[in-house]
Amino acid sequence: MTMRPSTTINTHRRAGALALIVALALAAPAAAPAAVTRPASASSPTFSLSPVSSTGALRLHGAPGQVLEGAVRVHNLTSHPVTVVLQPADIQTAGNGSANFVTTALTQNGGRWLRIDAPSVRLTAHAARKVAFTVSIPATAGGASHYAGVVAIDQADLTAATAQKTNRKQGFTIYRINRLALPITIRIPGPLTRSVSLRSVKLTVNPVASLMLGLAPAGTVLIQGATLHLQVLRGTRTIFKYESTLGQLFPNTGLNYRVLWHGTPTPGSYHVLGVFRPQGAPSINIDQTVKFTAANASELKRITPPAPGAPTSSIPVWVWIALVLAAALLAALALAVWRLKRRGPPAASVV
Amino acid sequence: MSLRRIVGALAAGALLALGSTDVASAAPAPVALGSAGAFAVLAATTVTSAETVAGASTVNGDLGVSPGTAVTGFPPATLNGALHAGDGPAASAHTDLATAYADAAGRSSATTITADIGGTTLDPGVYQAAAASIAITGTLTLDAQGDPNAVFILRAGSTLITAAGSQVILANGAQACNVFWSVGSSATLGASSVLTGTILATTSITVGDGVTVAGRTLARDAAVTLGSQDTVTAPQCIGPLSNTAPAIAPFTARLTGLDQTVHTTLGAWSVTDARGTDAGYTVTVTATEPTVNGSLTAAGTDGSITLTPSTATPASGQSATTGPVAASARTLSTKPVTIDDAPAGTGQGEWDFAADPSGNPSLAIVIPGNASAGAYSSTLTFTTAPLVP
Repeated sequence: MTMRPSTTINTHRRAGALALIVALALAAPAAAPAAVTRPASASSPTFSLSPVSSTGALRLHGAPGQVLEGAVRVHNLTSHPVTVVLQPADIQTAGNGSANFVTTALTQNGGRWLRIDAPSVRLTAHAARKVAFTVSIPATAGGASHYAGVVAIDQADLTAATAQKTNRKQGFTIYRINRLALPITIRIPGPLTRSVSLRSVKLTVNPVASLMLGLAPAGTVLIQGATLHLQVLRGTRTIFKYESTLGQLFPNTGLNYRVLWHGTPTPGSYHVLGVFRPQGAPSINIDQTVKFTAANASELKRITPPAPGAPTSSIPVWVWIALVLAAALLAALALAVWRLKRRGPPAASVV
Repeated sequence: MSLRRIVGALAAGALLALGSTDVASAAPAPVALGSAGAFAVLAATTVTSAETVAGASTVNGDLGVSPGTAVTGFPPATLNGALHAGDGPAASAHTDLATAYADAAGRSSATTITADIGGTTLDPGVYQAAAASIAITGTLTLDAQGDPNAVFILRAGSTLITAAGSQVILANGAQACNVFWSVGSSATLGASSVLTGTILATTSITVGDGVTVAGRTLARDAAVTLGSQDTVTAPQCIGPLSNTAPAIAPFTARLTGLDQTVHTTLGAWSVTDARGTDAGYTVTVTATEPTVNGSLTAAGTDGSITLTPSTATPASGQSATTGPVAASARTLSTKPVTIDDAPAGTGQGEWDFAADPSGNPSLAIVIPGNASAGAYSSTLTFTTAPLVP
């Protein structure tokens, strides 16, 4: 981010200065968007990660205390060497459902049980390699489906992101890392149950006004998906309705599901009615009141950015002011020319 | 770069080098069939389907003859594909067949196998018959050891002869598209046998009654003769689930003292699901907390990033119908959100996400009014994963 104070334009400058501003203003829009460039097409994948399994999925069956074995295959899809980093992962539930592969601070069952034989694999052009892993089921593990994952990242992605982070050039840089992940299901005999509880319904404002539903999937096996139907009322007036589907929900991993508020809330109470229907589990009826305080409104006003489509900061305010002035100047010039023409040539003198 | 950073980077590099396994060598590559790959049956002189007992044969894939033009027995035999009798595509395929045979026959480092390989299990690789011929009596198992890309090339100096009722079966992810039979003269498939893979024969191929070929019968110099109740199906290869992530261009913003939103564009990216299982997948995104000059706590780090995922379109050359569904605008955080969801039964094939069009950026970054001057950074992590079955 280039940090300079906004330029204030003195609108009472002389005509010469005004002409200069006109020239600058006309030139600025062409230069402003140059900050962002975009590739013409997607690059090709550099590697793939596949389960070594006749079923196309990694499903292991075992008992407490047992050590299970499995393998994945990493394939270099390019004509140059590629190093792929492999990491064990827990599977939690992403913000709107689906698997969230967490590779740091493993706290859930599956990820901590998993040991991958190689932390990274270097592959020659188009080569493939099988990498074995073991799953050590603790003696205390309960009968359930437990979940873990193997995450693979191109080392070049990590290196590029690390190298760029040391760059101290002022501005905003968003790095990207591309991961492939494979889920592993570890089935320990026991009853399979599914349930979800609704822990909370809140109206939050940061970073945008939203209803936040705190959901807690439980039971012993994942839920394949869910639907949500909501209606938000103020008194008897419907403020907005909302329908959505959620992806897979994993047991014992909570999620905060965000429903973007339609419009802007005002201080007072809102009634939230609806139903959450997880597949294969009892539905949850939602009937809650949420409060939006004056403090919330103030906070929301403070942090609410201009609506999409508004001029962005890539074209500074002073440029817009200069453009307006330029337009005014041109109009004044046109008016002056028109008046001169209307007045016509001076009358001939008679001697 | 500070000394601590340099030491840290060196240590990380050393750890990586120690943990890295040896460079893996390339497995045998599949035989490139070129335009011949579209053909289930291809001959130089004639293709005949001789219905000696009740029940016609079926060919799933194209059927061609070149330079000859004779095709007999279709119907009553069924052809689920195009017929190319002496035309341009057949000629081209015939040329490619000759090239493919030369490729398969010329592969080095072959392992020697016994004359009759029935009752054995072979791992991926190139095999050469000790005798001139290969015979199969009973069951031959081709074990890919979990690698769907595993290639099997089996070479006979003269003939390939399968006994009646014999079978070639696949195990542990092996695919028929990666099995090649290089035959120096002719192949004869016994009645009610099952053969998997593509036969590249220099002379002729004769198929007994009730034979199933999960592959191709390609005869370079002479004829292909089918019997009754045969089925020949040109195989399709399956691949992995793979993806790319979009490029995000760096940008600058001018502080105004007020909260503001700046926008930037995402480059093109894609997801390819070539597994052929229709098992579905998801793409999720996380964003790290922004830092200013490497600090997580400096003024200005409490901004946010919102992503509006673009719509997937099928890549040119594929006719998939239902692609992954793009989510609505999502505010990103360290907790991932799903931006594209392909439930089971959808998303197969390659799906492209075009670069943002000019004037319609999909990333919106809120910069707080109290932001400090400096170098801001955040990392978006795109994760593609199959659904848990």
